Amino acid sequence: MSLRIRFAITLTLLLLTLCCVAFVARSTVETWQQFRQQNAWAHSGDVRAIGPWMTIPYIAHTYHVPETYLYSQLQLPASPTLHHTTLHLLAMRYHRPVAHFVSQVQGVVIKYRKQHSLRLPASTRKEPRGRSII
Amino acid sequence: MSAFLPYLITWMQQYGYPALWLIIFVAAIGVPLPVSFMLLAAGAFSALGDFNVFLVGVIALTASVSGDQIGYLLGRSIGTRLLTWLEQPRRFNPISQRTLQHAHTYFTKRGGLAIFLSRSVVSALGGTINLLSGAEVYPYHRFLVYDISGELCAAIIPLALGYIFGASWEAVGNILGMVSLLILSLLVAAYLSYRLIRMLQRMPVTKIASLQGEKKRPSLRDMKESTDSLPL
Repeated sequence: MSLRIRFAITLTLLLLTLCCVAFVARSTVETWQQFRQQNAWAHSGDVRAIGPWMTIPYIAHTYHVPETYLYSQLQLPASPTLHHTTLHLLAMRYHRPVAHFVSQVQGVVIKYRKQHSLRLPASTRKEPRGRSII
Repeated sequence: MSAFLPYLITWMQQYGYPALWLIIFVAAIGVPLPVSFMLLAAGAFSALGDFNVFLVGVIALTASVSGDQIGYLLGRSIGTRLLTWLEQPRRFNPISQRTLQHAHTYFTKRGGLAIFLSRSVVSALGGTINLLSGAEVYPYHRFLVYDISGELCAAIIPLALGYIFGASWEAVGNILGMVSLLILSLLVAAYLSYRLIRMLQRMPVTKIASLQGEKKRPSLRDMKESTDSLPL
């Protein structure tokens, strides 16, 4: 293969790679913004940060809601086997859509906060949604 | 994110450290499993006291290094035979002997960096590099040193980030994945730029040499015709 053809192929590959770099860089910035938003939610105790990977004890600890309250509101038995089960698997076990089950858990946390008028820390309460505090 | 992840996290939660060890070990052999996300999740759960973060670190390191050794041994036992078969002269060779020799020399020279980066930056290539290291009979003690140092970075970084950021570990995992992809694409771009510069430097010299060759050297066709015309 002549040098000129090799040069043309390498140049084409470089241009394609630079396009990939631009695309990946843009996606990285978007991912960074998503991270900032999620981190802000997690720090302010926003229920939107609740994910399908969380277990009931994890939610209870993070959102300051008693485990027994969560189990009773979700109509689940408070057995030790469910202690280490994620919301994703709980939803599948009880034949409920995962997204619906997660939103149900979010609703239970909000309901508990309304009933007990939980006060969030002042520094995070004033923080607008989507803005990082780090 | 992998569809397996919720199941893997549940197994990790239900069966604890042995499940975590097994998942990381299988992934290190070459099965594509989201180990970084698992470690981020383990870090997040450790922050609440479900796991001991130091024990998780030890488990991650031992499991991944053990899995890498299996990959290396597989490459050494099967890969060497494949390379020997490829090097044998035959009518049609999928890869030329020159290319194989060039690859061997290159891996002997830069293999350490490849082993380290395939653990710490581009973990998707880890399984392939293990097989290649074994097939190229890369010195075992050097492989072990680069492997342990790379896996140490690969274990500590996600564990620490999961521990620090807790509930946001999914977003952190996505960032790690994107940054890894960005570094890989930048490395490829840098390599291609280097090749282009080298070609540009060589271009005038080669052009002159080829022009001289056209005048002085007879072509293969001319040589064949001249040998055919020789009296037997």
